[in-house]
Amino acid sequence: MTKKIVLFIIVVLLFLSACVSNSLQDTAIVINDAFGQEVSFSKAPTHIVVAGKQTPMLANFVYLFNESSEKISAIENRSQSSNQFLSLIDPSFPEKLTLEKGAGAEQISAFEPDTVILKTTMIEQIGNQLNDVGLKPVYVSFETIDEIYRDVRILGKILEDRDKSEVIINFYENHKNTIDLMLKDSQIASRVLLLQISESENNYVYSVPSASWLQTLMVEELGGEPVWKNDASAGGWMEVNIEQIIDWQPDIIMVINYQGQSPEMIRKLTEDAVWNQFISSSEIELKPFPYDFQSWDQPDPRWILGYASIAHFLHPDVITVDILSGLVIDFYHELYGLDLNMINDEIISLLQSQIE
Amino acid sequence: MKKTSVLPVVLLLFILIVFASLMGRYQGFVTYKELSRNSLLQQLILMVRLPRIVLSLVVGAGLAVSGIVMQTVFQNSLADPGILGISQAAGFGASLGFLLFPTTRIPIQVFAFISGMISLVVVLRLARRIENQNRLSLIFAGIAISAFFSAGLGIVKYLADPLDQLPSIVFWLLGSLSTSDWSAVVQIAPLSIVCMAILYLLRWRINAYSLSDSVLYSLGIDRNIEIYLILGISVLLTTTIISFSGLVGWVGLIVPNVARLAFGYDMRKSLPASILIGAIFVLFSDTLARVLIAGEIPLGIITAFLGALIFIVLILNNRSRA
Amino acid sequence: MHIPVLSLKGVNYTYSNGRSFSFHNISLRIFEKSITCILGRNGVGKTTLLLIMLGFLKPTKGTVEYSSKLGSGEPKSKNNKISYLPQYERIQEKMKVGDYMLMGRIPFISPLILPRIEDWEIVIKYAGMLDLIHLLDYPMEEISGGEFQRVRLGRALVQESDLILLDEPITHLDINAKFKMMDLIKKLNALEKSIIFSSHDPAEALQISDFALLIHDDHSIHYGATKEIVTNKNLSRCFNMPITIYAGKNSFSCIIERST
Repeated sequence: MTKKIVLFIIVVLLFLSACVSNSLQDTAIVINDAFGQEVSFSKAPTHIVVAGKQTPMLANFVYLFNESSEKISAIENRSQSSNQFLSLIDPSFPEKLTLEKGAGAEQISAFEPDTVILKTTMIEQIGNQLNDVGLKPVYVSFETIDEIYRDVRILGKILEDRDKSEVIINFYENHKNTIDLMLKDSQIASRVLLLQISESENNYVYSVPSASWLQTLMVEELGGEPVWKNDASAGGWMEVNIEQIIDWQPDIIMVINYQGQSPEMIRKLTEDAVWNQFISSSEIELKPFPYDFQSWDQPDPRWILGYASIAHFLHPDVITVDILSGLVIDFYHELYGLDLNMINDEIISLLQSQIE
Repeated sequence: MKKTSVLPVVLLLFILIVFASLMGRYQGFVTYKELSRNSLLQQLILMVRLPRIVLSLVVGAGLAVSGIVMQTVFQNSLADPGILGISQAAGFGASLGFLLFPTTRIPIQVFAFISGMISLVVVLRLARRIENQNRLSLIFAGIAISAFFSAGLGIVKYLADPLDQLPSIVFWLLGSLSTSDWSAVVQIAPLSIVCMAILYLLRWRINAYSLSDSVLYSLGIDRNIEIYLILGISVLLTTTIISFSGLVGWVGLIVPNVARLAFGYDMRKSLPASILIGAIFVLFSDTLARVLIAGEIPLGIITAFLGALIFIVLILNNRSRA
Repeated sequence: MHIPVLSLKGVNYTYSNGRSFSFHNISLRIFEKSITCILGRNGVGKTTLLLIMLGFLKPTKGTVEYSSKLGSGEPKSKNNKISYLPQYERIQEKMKVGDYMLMGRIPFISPLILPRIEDWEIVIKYAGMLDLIHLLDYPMEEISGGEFQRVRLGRALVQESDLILLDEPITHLDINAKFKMMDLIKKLNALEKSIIFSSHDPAEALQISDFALLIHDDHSIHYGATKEIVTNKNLSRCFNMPITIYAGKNSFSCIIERST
């Protein structure tokens, strides 16, 4: 009789210890995502999918980490220029473009990922459904500088490379502080307008970014006055007409174009009678926002380059072209590990007409 | 029997035109003094506001004329190019045309017209096949066709424009005159005005289509040929406008009903009245669209809002009389 | 008097959908300045025959010919010379009586212009003749049935056609209006117009028509002078009931004798 009791107790103890050790393993990685929610993984994800509308920029962040090449299984195919860039970093990248644009939870789950990296805005469209299927999405945002630091750390945790995330954040912090310091004594508060110009069937469509977006915040951070901020919509880009642009009385207009045509757009504007008169009568500067595979105004690793560009446009004698070029080279070399020749051939050449 | 005079309407139109040219996001409403001083403002008015005003007049008059012709031909006061699916077809055709031929504008208008004609023929055929033919058969057919082409527009945009480089589908479905300039006026206005002029000259003749087919035959009218011709001109008018402005709805539906209420059913009066009232309606709406807030409001939203209000008033007015 | 204004030669007509019958090989001549009545039961094809005469329906075989006065048979040249009043006519209720009558001038007005003063004068002339002047400004929805018929005749007159086709013009009117309408038809005939009208009441034929066209149930026809064609025997066969004609002093009536 006692033998049986002892046996029973041993079995129970073994069972309990197994449970305990299991639950210990369950909390191998715990992440607080952009919504502040806890996502836990028993082991680090090795099959990661990046999806949703902002995939190109998210992928650019993910590829700051060397582990991406192995650990990323699929990326939504959204932007040719982004794909081109990432193929430079990782020659096997094209193989990962197996997820169609606009893919839903079903197609994503077909890859059996350990986790899916999504922008916070995708929660309703894709995120909730992924949750229902049992896949764990991790949300990132990158819409403010603090969020960028936080979300880079999140990626570092997922990809098991905390060291690299600190390298990245240090890079950002150092260069931002440097720029801020150099500008400390430059007090001119310019009236700045960030204007996206896109060519439509009939003419040009002008729009301004949302008041809460990174671009707007960067302008403010650098001491500029974003003239559109009070009128801007809370949602997305807001279309405006030329009268409104003139009424805002900007000192400097930074022209953004997502096809990389910002210098071209400026050129065409100066051929228009009304713009011509406006520019000359008010002595306005028009600057093309640089674009290499991605416009630098976006919530993308290149944000620091955008930050420097805005600083350069506002204070060209302090943040000079040379400083800017140097930053570009450092950026691609230190963060993406590209060698100098490749940087020159593939990237600097793209920027020729844009930075002067 | 209403004997409303045309004069107050014409006067209202002129006042509105002057008002609209003096109003804009730049410095709000300006006086003559400021105008004479500020040469940038003069440029703005001349190169930005005036062409847009001209186009809004053309759009308003054209869509209204199209609407009243369709309503009279079909003897159905709910008919208009939007309800019959012709506008949506034009939007589909135009966006397809631009995708295939991005450099010139002519194919856009041609594609829009062909699409519009196809949808007209399909709607007529479909309506005829509906059992228990009544007033609503045409409307049902129109709803189906307009949904079809709207969906088609969505597909074109999704498949063919993955980088979202072209104007969004929102532009096509809600309409806008924000890109107006004099070159657009040159491309849209002459053809539209010619179409309107032809329909204006035919206005008495169009009254006759309310008669029975056999009676028309006895009067020497080959109803089918004439109706297809007149509808064809209406479609050309509509599609030319929509290929530039996107889908601006409710104008062709509401304005003819208001015109008939005020000026009677005889097309000799109600067609010219539609031209004036349509022009006023869209000029007013577009002025709101570009002035109300800092951002541009799609024109179709304003015409829908105002149009729906007027529609409700018309319905209530009808019920209280009946 | 015996010049044909309209001839049917070997006309065959088959309905293309629904109905199962057809006309076979019909040949007849309608004479100028005559009044002809087409008699038959409902559904036997009176309207169809009228439309074939109008030219709106084309015979599947055979031809319809018109006198040179009416033109060569093409829509434009002939059709301003034939007026047609359908049994149920579609109208725009808010259209004014005067504007409706003006429609009769369409063959004379080019599509791109508006009616001229002379067109309006013609409308007034015939409106006077038909005692309609006081109604000219009224919308169609506000006039009575009898007035409506007169207005439609007004349109036919305004068209100044030589041949007028009427589909059951008398059928739906009350007794008073019936006689008034028959008088009107005679009046029109006195203006040298040829008139063909349909009816399912033989009394009307006897009353005013010179010629009668009986359509029997098997779609064969009997055509000739009213006095010869409209007999008890023919009527009984045509309407499938024993019919007796009674002649009053100035009018006729048809009685159906039931077998007790």
